[in-house]
Amino acid sequence: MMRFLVFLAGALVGTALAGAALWLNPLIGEPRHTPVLEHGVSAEFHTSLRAEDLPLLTHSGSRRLVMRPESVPELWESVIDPLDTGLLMLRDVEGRVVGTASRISAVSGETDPLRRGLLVDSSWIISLEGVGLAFAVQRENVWPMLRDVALPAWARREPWQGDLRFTPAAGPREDRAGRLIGVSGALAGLEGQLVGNYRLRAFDPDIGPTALEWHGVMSLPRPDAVEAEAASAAR
Amino acid sequence: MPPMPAVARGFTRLLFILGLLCGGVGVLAVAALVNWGDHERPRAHISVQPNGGAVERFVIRLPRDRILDSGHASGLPSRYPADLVLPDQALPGLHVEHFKLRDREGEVIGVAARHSQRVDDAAHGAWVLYLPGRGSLLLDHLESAGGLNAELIRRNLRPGAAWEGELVFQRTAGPASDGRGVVRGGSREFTRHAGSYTETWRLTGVDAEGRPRGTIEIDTLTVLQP
Repeated sequence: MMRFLVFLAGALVGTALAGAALWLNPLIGEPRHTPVLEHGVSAEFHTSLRAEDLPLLTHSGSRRLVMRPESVPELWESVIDPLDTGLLMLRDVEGRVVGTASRISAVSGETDPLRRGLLVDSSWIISLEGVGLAFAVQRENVWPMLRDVALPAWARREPWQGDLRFTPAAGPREDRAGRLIGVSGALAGLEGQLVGNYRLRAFDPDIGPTALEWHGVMSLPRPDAVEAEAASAAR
Repeated sequence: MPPMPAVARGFTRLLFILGLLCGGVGVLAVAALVNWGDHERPRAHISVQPNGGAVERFVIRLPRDRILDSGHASGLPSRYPADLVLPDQALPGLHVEHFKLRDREGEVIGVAARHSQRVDDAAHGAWVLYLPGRGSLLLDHLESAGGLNAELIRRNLRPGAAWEGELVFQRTAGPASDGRGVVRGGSREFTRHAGSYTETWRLTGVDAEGRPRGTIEIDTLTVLQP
């Protein structure tokens, strides 16, 4: 009996040490530098979780995350259970709606708590009024937000309030930015970066983030630079 | 209490260290080996063309697969869900729809978003098809002249009145040949995909609330890029 208790004590200490190592693992924490915007034209947008910015958000219904509007269909079928889908209003610095985005996301199959963190993959269609359409494919590591805010709030069953800014960019581009693909209008044929910067100010253990702002930056090459590059390649 | 013999102390230490290693390695093994984002992956119904390329059909059944319809200024189609509130100044010249997506056997396999926007006198359509076990597929096309709404109105569809009839309407009109849209890759297994597709609406009616009934078929022909 004594031997078993000694072994058990060792196992408990080992579990706690490994848990602490995972909790503090620098490989899955927030990277020190945000991706460098490498193109000539950049545009910034912001949106939030407020109903006027996110009029529709749905998922399986079993997640601690708001759903709206009230009669929105749930994604209850087992295959689509991991997905969230939302409609976002994109605003300029003066708060005017200048675009609309559809975003579909799920926890990535490449999530790895040892080396990469808790990854969320998302795919977007972005429509900018009078400008054109673009696709975006993004991967973000939400582990730092989960570690610093969500897990403590769930453990204590108390709402969190504060001011946490994070840039969870994790790909799929080499520089960790999301891939932006222009489709129509002034964006046609252009490829660039999409980087999301977040500001979290309130989190409720029952319904998740309640005050979350997203500041997205799109970076694209100048159309004339693309033409010059194409001409140079043709020569 | 008599002191523990040296051999017993050594054995106790060994047991503690063994437990420590088992606990630590066990937690790290679980973290490393569990597939945290393991999504169900239904069998893909793909057929391979003799001259190259893979053909796959995606189906949307209306109205049951609708998740979101931003609605049209004419009320056709109507906004859905009915309690969806959009900012007044939002979406001029833009139509947004979200659907559940099925395979050709009718099983729900993903979620799709569709945007249609008029820019520079041409209407463009774009789709994201998100299949959780496979990734997302990005599609874009030029919309057929006049569009589906104009065609329905030409066939006497009126706001507030139900319409019965048969309408087969291909909404893709390029930019690829034969009026096909283009596949722009995507994420995960679709990252290197290119090709073309058609989007065909087969409607059998529209109810008095402006909800279309029928199916949307998206037929993709994809090839892997080097």
